[in-house]
Amino acid sequence: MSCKSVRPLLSAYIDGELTGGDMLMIRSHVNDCKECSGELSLLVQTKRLMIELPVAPEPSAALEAKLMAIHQRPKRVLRPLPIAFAGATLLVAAFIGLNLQTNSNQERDNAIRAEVARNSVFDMSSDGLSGASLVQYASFENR
Amino acid sequence: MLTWVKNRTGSFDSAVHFERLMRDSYRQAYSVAYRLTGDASDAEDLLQEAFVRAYRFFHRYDDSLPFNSWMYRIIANAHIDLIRRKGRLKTSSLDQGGAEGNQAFEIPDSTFAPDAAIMNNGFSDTVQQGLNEMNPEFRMAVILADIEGLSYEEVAEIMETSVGTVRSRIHRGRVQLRNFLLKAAPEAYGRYANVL
Repeated sequence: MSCKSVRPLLSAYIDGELTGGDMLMIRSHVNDCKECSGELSLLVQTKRLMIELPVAPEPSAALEAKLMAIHQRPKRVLRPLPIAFAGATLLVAAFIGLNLQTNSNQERDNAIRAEVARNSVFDMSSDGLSGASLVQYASFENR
Repeated sequence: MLTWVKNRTGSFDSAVHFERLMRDSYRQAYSVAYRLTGDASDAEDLLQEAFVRAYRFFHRYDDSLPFNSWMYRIIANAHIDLIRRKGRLKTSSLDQGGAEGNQAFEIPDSTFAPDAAIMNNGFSDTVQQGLNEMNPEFRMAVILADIEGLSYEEVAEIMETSVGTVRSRIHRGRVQLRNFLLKAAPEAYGRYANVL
C-alpha cells in the first residue's frame, strides 16, 4: 500500500473500524514508513485529547423546566395559513365577480349594437320638390 | 413501534411517553450539544430547539432507533440550521495541508498513555476552540465517535449517511483539529506529545 492510500484510513485504523486484512496491511506499512508512523501518532494524540475533554457542565435547572413544558403546549398542526386562505378566497371571488361583470357588460353592448343596427335601416326615397334621390335613416318616427 | 401510555381519560397519550424519554435523555443530549456549540447558553438553546422539533415529529419516531440516537440526529440538523441562520458556516479553512494534511512529525511513542493529567483546563479550552473551528459535519462525527464512543455504523445511522462517509468525516475532522492545535498551541501540543 502507498502512503497516499494509507493516510485516509489511519483514523479508521486507530478506531479498529477496518477489515482484518486492511488492519494488517496498514500496520505493516506504518511499521516501515516513518512519515505515516508520525502521522498516526498525531492522530492518536488528537483522539486522546477528545476523549479526555472534561465532562460537560450540568445544564441549568431552568433548562429542565423549559424542556418539560414543551410537551404541555398544544402541538402545532400544519394547516393552510388563515390569512393566506382568506386572501386566496377573496382573489377567487374577485375574479368570478369580474367575469360576471364582463359578461353583463358584453350583453348590454350587444343589445345596443342590435338596436343601432335596427335603427340604421336606410330609407330610400326621392325629394318631393326637387325629385332628387334621398337617403334617409329610418327611425321609429319615420316608420 | 411506540408504546403508548394511557392518560387519565383512558386514551393513549404520546406526550407522557415523550416526557419519559426526554427526562431520560436530555442530560446526555446536552453534553453533545455543549461540545457542538462550545457554550452552555448556546447548548441550552440548541437543545430546546431540538426537543421542540422532536415533539412536533414524535409521531414519526420509530423506536428501532434508540431515542438518544434519534435526538443526536435532530440536534445535528438543528445545529447546522442554527449555524446557517447565523451565517457562520465555515469550511475547511484550517485544513491547510489538504484533506489529509502534509505535515509529518516524529513522535516518540504512538501508544495510548494512561496519564490524563496533562489535559489541564487551559488546554481543554484550546481543544474546544479547535472543535468550534471544525466543519460542523466533521465535528458531529468526531464527537459521536470519540466522546460518545459510538461505532462508525451507529454514527452513519444517526447522520443518515454511509460508513465510508463517516470514516472520511472523522479522519478529516481529526486532521483539522490536529492542524489547529499545531497552529494555536504548538508548545502545549508538543508537551502533550512528549508525555506520550
